[in-house]
Amino acid sequence: MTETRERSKEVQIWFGPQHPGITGNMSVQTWLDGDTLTRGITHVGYLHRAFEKLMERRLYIQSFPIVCRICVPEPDTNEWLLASALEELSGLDREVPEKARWIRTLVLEMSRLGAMLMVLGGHAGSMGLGPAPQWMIALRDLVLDRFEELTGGRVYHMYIVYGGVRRDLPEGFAERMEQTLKTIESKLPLIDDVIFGSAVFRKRAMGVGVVPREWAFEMGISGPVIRAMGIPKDVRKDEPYEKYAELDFDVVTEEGSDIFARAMVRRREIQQSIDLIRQILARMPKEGPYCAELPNMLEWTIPVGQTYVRAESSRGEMGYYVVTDGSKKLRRVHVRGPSYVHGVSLLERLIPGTNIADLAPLMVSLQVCPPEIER
Amino acid sequence: MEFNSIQEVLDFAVRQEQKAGRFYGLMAEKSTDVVARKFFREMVGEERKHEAKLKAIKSGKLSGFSGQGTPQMNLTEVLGEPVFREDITLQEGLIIAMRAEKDAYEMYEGLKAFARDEELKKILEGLAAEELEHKARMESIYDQVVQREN
Amino acid sequence: MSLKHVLQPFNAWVQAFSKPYTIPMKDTMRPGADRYRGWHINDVEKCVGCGTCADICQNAAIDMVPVKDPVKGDSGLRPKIDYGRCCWCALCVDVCTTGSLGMSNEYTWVEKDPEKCRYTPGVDAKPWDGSEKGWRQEEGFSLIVKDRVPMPMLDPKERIKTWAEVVVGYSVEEARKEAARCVSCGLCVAACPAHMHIPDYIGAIRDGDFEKALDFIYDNNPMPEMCGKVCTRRCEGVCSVGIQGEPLAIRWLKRFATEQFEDFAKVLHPEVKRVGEGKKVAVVGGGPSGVTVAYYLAVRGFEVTIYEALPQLGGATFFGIPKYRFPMPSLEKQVDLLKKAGVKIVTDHRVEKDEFRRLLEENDALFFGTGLMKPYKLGVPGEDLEGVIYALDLLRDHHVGKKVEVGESVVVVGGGNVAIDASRVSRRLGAEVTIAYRRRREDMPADDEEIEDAEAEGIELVTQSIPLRVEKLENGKLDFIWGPAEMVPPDRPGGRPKPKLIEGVENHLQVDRVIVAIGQKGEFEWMPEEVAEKVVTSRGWVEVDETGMTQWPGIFAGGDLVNSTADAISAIADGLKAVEGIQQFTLEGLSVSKS
Repeated sequence: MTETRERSKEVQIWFGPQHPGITGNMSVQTWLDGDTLTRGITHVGYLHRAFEKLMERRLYIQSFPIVCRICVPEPDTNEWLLASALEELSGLDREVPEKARWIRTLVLEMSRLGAMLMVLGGHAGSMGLGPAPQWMIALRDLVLDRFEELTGGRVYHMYIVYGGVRRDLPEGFAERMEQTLKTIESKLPLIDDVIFGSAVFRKRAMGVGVVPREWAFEMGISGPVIRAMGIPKDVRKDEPYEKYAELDFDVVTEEGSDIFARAMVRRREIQQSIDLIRQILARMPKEGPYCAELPNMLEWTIPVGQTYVRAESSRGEMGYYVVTDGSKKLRRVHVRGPSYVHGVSLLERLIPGTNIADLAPLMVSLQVCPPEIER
Repeated sequence: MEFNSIQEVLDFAVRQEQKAGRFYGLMAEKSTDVVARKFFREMVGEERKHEAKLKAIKSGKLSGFSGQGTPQMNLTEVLGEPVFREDITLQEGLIIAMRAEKDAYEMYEGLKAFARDEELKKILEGLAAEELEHKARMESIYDQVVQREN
Repeated sequence: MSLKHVLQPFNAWVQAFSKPYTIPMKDTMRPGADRYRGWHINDVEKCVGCGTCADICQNAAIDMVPVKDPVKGDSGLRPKIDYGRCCWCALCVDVCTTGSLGMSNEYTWVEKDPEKCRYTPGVDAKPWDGSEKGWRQEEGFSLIVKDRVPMPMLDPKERIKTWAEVVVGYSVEEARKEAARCVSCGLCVAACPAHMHIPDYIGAIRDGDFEKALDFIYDNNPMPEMCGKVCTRRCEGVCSVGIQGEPLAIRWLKRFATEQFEDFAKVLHPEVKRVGEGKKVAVVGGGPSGVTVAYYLAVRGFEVTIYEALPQLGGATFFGIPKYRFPMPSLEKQVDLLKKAGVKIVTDHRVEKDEFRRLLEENDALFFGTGLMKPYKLGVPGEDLEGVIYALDLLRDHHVGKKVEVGESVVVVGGGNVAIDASRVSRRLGAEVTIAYRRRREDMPADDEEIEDAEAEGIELVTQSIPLRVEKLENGKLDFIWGPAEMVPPDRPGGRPKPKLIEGVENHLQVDRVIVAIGQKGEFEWMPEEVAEKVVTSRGWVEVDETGMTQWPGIFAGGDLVNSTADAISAIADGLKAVEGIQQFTLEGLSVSKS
């Protein structure tokens, strides 16, 4: 009885799916008491394209154009995960050429950089700080220009495939990349001023959306969210893949576990990615194949097996659980995206007590990517 | 031999074709080999066609010869000189036909020297070219049928 | 909250006075990157319509649509792309067997009519057709395997000392690996005279199901082990994988499948439709066409008898093809299945005129495929000299076990497979061998690999050489005199270029034997005149209609006498045609006319 009366005072509001503050195609059904949220239920399914099921009906090579669509801002992690899982299951991982490994690491870092530029803009945008998001998107576009000349596509690269990558670095790529990095670097102090130096941002981000440290491992939190708790967890360090073990970098951590801390992790990881790209380009082999000799992709089969592979995306740990049954097609793919944890379980747990105006910044800080939730 | 008019030349040529036709007809009658027999019969028909063509030129229905300029292989010059026997084969029959066409060509070429005017000369040239064409055709058939693997 | 944090954001105003770094309009109109994946382009002349682009397209955005008549090696189809489905992944470009498909670096295309957004690149003109830039195939990345699994062979130095089979054959791993290269385009099926189920049996080999492969193979070829070893393999000539790489080893894969079984009867499951019960058919000539007719009619319940003049069935594959290419046990295995299928076989029996007439009386239909058993002569002076022999006689004598001698040196005249066989047999008999051929090497009708094998065995090739005459020398040897030739264009486009003798030059070659292999002809002396008169042409061939029937109702023919290609697989194709023809003819209640 009590509860019914309590609830009757509440106002129910749908946040999304048509709302500029929502991150992508999802919605949150919320209940308000005043302007404080008492409860929230996430609704996904607006974007369901059955990627995992589609892949069970596709040849292995045909799955590459599908997986990149699991995350629009950062497709390459998905491509790499599928490729490396298939390589491991078929035993080709030993034959991936050195140069391909370096190019892959480059592409993965470039995609992290592009995604983080975008989400940092989102941090500001969700609080109504207009110019910063526009600059960030413009900077990201410069990264996309490099992607375009390297992979032939701006958004969906479909570049990392089984056995290596699809094309060699174009002539003069390193120089143009350096130019792009310099441009981005030159704008970063300004970004610092208008975002991290802004009273509005500081006031709304500090101490808001705090994720308790004890939830970290209980809920499987990863990426900037966990690093903002001061826990140095990063797949690139914990379980280095491709060339990360040979690169010099430290895991970025911040204290506070609030929106500000998470934004700051991202800000510092932008610089980290820039440094890593420079390191990679400096050590990139000049000669050599960029892809192993592939079998006939129309008829290729992989022996029975299963594996789990993981990588650090800009959002956190991405993992692919892949099962093959000896046929020409995947038996099962399960995509473990950080957004499911952050965007459904964690978000619903964080909502009670949050001011409605902070919901959008909170979602951005958790970096929720709906297509990853509904693969 | 001397010709006074184009009509005379053409008459002569017609008689030559008829003679060749009778020659093939005789061989067709006598040969025992079914293939050679059929080939000679075909040649009788060929000669009739040539004859008809000459007659058409004579009566003005056709304006002249239209050689296609089939390239020569000079096969005839290399091959031996078979003579007619009852069990003659297609191969020998073809060589005989090639030689006959070559002889006809040489005859018209020779007659050219005796031609009085340009027009006569031209018609004789045409006839010679026609025979050369026939020779090339026979050589082609020989090449296709006999020397399939050479 | 310090004052600093209130003021700091105003630094953004600095931007108001600097150059904008959002992308100006003119920059968005720039062309795409050099390898941008834009709208498709296709070089339709280079494209063969293999359809691998449509196979790999995960969105099913590509349809293969007919744009011209199919020919051997070109399906006549070209990819039509639906841009409502295309995701610009360019897998179609990377998998393209010819390299004809590409993508332009064109970003945008505005079209009011959605129907026009489905178009056939290269056929429907587009502004970006000539685009030099955009995504193209690149060295170092291929979705198909271009290199063939090499076939183990005996060393040339060793093999000329023996009659052992030169080709060793694939192991299971090698065969499955080679089979896995197939892209199943099916161009080979159209090119094969017998239209064998090539992608199907290759697929079965790839999957390790060799019984199934054999079933597919035996569906329309009763002498697959022979074809697997000596076929002229038109299929490989059109193989789409072979356009940029090496064609699938289709022949060796067929060979592999047949080699897996000792007794075909134990593994084959032919579909038995005993429609021909009570009907009798006589087959004269036990070559590939006759065997085909006999086998497939027998499994359909016809009562078939084969009459063969030589001691063994196989025709030219028995007496013509040397045993280092096609050993006897392989032939026997196939004949064995024929017997098990219920075919009556009469060997060492030459059908003559009267018997032929009797066969017409006793049977519902008659098939003959007596082949080209007689050589054409060289036609030059000196041909009658002792020591001038014919390749066909040499090969036949050798294969029926007669002793043959070729001396220390021979010249083989001709450039077909018979010439090569005679050369390699002579080489194994211990002679130094020269092949004299009238045209160029690329015009040789013999199989490329055969020519290479012959050269590896130390056989010399003299091309553009025209035999002039043969003379007897005092030392007992023969003087083979030949003149050089220049090439003149063929009569019709696509024909063989012709050699023309350059007069006045004579070359001499001293040999013990001149072996003539310039061509073969059929022989009709055994045939009753009334039949020969009706069925034989003025070129020495036999003409048949689309059911394989000659001018004489009820008499069917096939093999080298009928087709212009004169190879085993065409003979088998003729046989298959005649099988349907005979079945149709006899089941309509018709019977061969007696006179």
